[in-house]
Amino acid sequence: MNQLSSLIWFTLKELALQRIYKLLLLSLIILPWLLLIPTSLFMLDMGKVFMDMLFTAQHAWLSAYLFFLAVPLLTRDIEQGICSIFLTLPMSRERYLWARFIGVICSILPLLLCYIASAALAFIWAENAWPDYVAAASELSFSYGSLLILMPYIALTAILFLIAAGATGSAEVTLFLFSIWLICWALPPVLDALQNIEVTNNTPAWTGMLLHAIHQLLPDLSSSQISLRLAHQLPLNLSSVFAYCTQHLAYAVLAIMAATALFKRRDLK
Amino acid sequence: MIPRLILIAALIFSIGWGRSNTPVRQEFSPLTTSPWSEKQALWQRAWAGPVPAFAADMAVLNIFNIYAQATAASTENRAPWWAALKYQLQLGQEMDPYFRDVYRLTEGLLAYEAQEMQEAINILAMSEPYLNSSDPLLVAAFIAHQELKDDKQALRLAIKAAEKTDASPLTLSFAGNLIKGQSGCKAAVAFLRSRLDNIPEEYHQGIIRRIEKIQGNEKCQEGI
Repeated sequence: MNQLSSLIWFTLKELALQRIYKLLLLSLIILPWLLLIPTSLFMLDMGKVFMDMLFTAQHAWLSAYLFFLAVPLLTRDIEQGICSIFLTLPMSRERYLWARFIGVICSILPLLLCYIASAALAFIWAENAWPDYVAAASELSFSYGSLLILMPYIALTAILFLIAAGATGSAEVTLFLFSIWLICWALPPVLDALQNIEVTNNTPAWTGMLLHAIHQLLPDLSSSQISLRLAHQLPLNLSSVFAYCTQHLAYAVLAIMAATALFKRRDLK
Repeated sequence: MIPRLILIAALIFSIGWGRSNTPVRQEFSPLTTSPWSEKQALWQRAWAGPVPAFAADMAVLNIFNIYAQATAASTENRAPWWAALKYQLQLGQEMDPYFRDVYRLTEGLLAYEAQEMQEAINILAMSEPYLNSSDPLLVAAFIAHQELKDDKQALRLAIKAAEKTDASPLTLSFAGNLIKGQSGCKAAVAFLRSRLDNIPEEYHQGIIRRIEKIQGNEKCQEGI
């Protein structure tokens, strides 16, 4: 347990001390205030527009975190043999991978907290500046949505570990992760559209089946309905939220278990 | 050292010369003039991924740009811009059907600038299941009545608007007038009375005055 927490803490410090992490943190504090400028261009639903922009920015920086911080950390560990330093402690490969995974996820939390805090203050300012166009307590809806948007990225981080456990280098990890991210981004809305009878009639049956099969294999990034409803101050069904969180957390645990099984068999020499 | 400085100066000069000779403002043309379809919706949804509401925001920003470009163009060259405007409004409505700015722009720009009355009515009518506000439906009914002279469509929309919780005396009176024109004073009075229970108390006086006005009308005396 001590080894595990030590490596988690080490991962957190390793990531937090990088210049890109500090720059990201600073950008996330400034960003919500900058987003108020395009928000002011709109007419009626300004609070909704501001929240949309914040959610979109969150998707962008979470993806950037994965590609520019998590991928280099993990590939450096495996390519340059840094993981061997931990594994000779002795520490099991399974424990190493879990600690790294939890460390990478924990490193997101300071970023997310700063982002939420800065956005909440910007919301409070906007509620006072545009009281007729920004709903009261929008900052609470945003904070709730932000935490929910994090869920699919936890699953995607686990996918990154699964890829890295078997891949030969950083280019391969980045390419596979990007492909999966792209599919996860575009597939759920396409499947939603396929429920439309007109679209279904014009689509070959095998295409629909193939898309459904891929969707079953990959994490679901479709937080669109959640962010849409929260931006319009519409209530979320609690059981749906619970199901949404459960599926992503379960997916993350399953992917890390698969990653450890793969990593155990890997020749690190 | 000196040749290198000369080279740097030459390069800086080349950049400056290139910039000053590149046309800043090119002839713009609308990005999309194709009609909206289910296939377009599918691609746009795939592109927007988990942020369709942001895609709707971008559509609204595009509308501002399209409107600026259209008004800068001569009247006979505006048609492609109005086609692009219609596309962006439909995109905005599809991506975020709760977004009020899309309906507001439809009322002002598509109906009265582009003169696409029926298209505007269709988009405004789509607000019904999503918005609690009666405004888009009322405007759609008004356009159908005033511009298209289609009172049947206007009545259908006005009744939907009157069923909304925020329906004001203006909405109810407008619907009442259309009913009066099509089905007579008795039906109009019955409609207004039926709405009294579903509207806020502060609106009651306005509706009651309207009922009394209809009942006091000489032409209506016989019908009631």
